[in-house]
Amino acid sequence: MILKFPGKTLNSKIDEELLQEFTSSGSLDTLGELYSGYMHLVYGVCLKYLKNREESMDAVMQIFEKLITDIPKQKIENFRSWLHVVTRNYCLMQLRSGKTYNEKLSEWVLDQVTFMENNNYLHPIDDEEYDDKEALADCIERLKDEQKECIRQFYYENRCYSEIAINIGADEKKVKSHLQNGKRNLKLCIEEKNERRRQE
Amino acid sequence: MKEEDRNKKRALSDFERYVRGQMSKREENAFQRKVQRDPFADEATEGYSEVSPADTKKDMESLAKRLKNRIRPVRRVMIYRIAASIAVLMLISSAFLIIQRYRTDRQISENIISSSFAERKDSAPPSLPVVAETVNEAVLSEREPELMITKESTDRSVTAPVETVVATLPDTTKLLAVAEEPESAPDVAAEKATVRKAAALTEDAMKEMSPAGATRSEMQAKSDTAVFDQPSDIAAQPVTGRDNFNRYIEENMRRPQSLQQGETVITVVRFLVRTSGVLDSLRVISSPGEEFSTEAMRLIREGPAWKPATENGQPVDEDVLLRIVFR
Repeated sequence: MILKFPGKTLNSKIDEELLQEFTSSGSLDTLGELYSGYMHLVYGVCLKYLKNREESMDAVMQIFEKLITDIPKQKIENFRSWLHVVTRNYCLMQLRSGKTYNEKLSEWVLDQVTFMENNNYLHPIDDEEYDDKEALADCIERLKDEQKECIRQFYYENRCYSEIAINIGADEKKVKSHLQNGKRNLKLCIEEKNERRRQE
Repeated sequence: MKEEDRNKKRALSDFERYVRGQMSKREENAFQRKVQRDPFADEATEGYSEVSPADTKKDMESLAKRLKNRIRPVRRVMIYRIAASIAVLMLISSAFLIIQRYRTDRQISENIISSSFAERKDSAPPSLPVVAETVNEAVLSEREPELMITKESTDRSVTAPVETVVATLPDTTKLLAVAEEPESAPDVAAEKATVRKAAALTEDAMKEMSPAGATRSEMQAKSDTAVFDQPSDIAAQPVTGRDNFNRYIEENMRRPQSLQQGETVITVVRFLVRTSGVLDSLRVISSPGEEFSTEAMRLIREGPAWKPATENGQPVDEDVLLRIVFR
């Protein structure tokens, strides 16, 4: 990868230190320092769910309050992903409290559909050291046309969503979902290949 | 530390530049690649796509200010501080109440959702399997020897699961009908007692339903469930049946230490049930952390065997998504 991702490796150390410091001292300064590194993400996630700037800003502050009370009570391994879960849960809770039962239900179901890729796992296509390029290429060949095209342009021509969207005449959300599904199918295909090889 | 600080700063500005469309297309591609592997940033960018870059900037600035004020409030008279601490107290307690209510909601919606999945299956009678599943739990806990002896005093603890059932049901007679089914009856007398008890309980439960009280929190104490969802004619399922499977999950789950009292963590695993009943390609789709992932995988790997799905009577491979809920 060209850019190492912050928050995974580099920042988790400093996060840990700040967390510990806050737990022992209860200093809001410390917590504020920690939180300010993530506020833009928290705000973005709130926007995604609440779709309203005022409410989202309030939510960012409410979540900070929640951290003050919750952090000392919990053992947090990875602050980044913990905060993600806290944020999402907070937003879903907000949505649920203002909606009818059916609305809540349909949202809950929708929520399930947008699964994230498990981030503990490095997908072969993201892994530059992945050695079985042949299997990868073969699996890409087997993808559905749109998925193949999106994967090819994104990974081999380094095009971004908006460019691909124009090239294939679809919107960016579609491109994203083709990529996501394509990657999932690739993973399946490669795993199956490995499995077969093991059995032989 | 300095180096890390700079890194954090740079990440923020990368993010800002992306959101404001100031990146070159190649940079965008690189940014999108890493965001794909980071669910938090992925959701956040999605959110920003609905707001104009100028507004985003304004909002971030105002948030930074609000945070600063929160951390070091401008010193005014004591009254302000007292008012603030009262407000915080109220906030915390209302947040607590809301969370309680939210948990309850979610538990109910989980039940309903599994029932709607059940309804989708042609072969299954509408909604009954789920009812049976939950009622069985109630009935079973009744049969535990201790509970049999001190029936009166156990009323309370048994009310909790029944309450969940009632909430998902339009009328209670159905509930009784199901409870009467001697599905796994070792002892007829016990069964009868149970049924009568169930009737009493239902009434109790109805009474308890409206005031959000102590029983609500007891309900939370009710442990984990695995909620199924899989689109298919006759779905693949554990050979032991679903309620037994749920019980297996509950009884064998090793809760990671990071799971707090009262916290709910959902993991989603996905695997293929081959026509031979062999599980294949097991992996975690969504999980907040390594420990949850490993435990979820272990539960499935070491769990009961699975019956393959059938389509037109023929066994077929089927992809199964399974939610494992840590409570």
